[in-house]
Amino acid sequence: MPDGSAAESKLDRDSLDNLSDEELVDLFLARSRTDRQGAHVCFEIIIARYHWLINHVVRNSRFRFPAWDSAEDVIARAIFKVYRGLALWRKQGKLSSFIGRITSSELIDTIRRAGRDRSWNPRLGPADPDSDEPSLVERAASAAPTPEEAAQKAQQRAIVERLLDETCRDWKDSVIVNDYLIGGQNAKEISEKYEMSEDLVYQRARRLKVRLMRWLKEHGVTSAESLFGNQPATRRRRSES
Amino acid sequence: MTEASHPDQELFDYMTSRLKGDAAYAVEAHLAGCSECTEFVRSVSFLRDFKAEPAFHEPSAAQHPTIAQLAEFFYGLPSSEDRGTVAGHVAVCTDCADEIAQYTATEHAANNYQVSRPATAKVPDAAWELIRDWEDSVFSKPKEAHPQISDDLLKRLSALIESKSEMGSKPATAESPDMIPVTVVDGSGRVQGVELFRRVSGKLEHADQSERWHEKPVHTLMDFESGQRVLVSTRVKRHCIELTKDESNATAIRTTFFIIDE
Repeated sequence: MPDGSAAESKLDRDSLDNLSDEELVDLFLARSRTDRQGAHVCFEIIIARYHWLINHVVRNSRFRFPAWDSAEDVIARAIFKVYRGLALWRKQGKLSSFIGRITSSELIDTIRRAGRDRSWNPRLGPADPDSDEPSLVERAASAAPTPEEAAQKAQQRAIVERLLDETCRDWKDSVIVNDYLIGGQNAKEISEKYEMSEDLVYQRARRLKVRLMRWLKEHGVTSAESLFGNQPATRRRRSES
Repeated sequence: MTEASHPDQELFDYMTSRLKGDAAYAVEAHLAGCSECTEFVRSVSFLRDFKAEPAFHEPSAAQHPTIAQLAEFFYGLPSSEDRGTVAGHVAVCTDCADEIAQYTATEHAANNYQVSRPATAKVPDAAWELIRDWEDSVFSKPKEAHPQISDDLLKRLSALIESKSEMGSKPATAESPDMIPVTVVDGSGRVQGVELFRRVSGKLEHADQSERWHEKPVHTLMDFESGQRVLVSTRVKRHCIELTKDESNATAIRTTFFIIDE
């Protein structure tokens, strides 16, 4: 609850409720310098307007929270960061977008921090001890690469990174390369996951194909083998076994 | 074969094994005669193998773009200088692509969000607790205002210098050449007294180590031969006045220090 008497807050709220987001944020910023209680009342109204959105973003996330953190904790931290960052809202976009961005970033931060605990996976349920799946240890490469292999791999990686850095122009290109071209998901899945039309997926994939082939041509590459050198290690391991 | 005649959509479906029967045969027939599409399929196949490499599949935390970089990349902010690097990373990193999906879902919800008024939801107590802790910490306090001097006070101090030329930074006594007199004035420019400070490598220390002027504004007026007058303002820290490089190295013909005691 903000400081101050309920009567004062109620009185303020009645008039403040009619202000636009811009006016309310301006008032919040002005009051936060001199009148903390007034700033709190303004902030309470801002959050009342956008609480549903914050709640929706956190609770409908594709990520699973670890046991030691909860949606309520993430919501509280997101609201705190909105309070701290309102001065940065440049009014160039909707306040909902600004608040959504802060909430998503807080959510991602939570998932990243939790992900550092290797026993926890944000996408999967707890590991099944009776599973027939090979463990991480079993899946690990049996031997470290030789210095030559490591150098070659680093070189190949640098080429791939440069190719992708220069071919992907925005996040839509990047996710289409990742999930569609490389990942093998279909256009409908991409469309649903990233809120874009299937037509756009095809259109972007076509452009990426043209750009990729142009990049290869410009770099004097006539075949995939000549770009990447020898076969990548995974393929080599498979052919050796 | 012209670019328009490449069966791109079918080719993409073929690459993900979603094309069956005659449609798949048609793409294979095209591939047999089209080196460009064949090379594209082979290149993507190599990229898939690379993505399956542990180095791509599980990049260390340090290799991921920061959340701010990722958000800037998604929102297309002009300051996203690392756009190329982030774009290339997201193209092969499943975790970061999932994080982008989080932003897209949020942006979709935010754009379609309708505020209903009057809204009644409350700020959770846990959030108020974080806000109050932050407000009570030193970090939340507005930056201390720079000790600016008003034009009026500056005029009064200048007049004071002209009328009492002995207030300049010339040594107070021949026996103590490093002693600097600092004039204490009130907010209206009336002289309250003179304090002696000792010049010690880049700063002035109060002769008696007194801290009674701590946090008081202190202004340095430097007069140069050209007639130019330069003002430097700061605050006394404990018993010291830190001198800027300009103050230490200046070849001013007269330097006058004022502490404002309001």
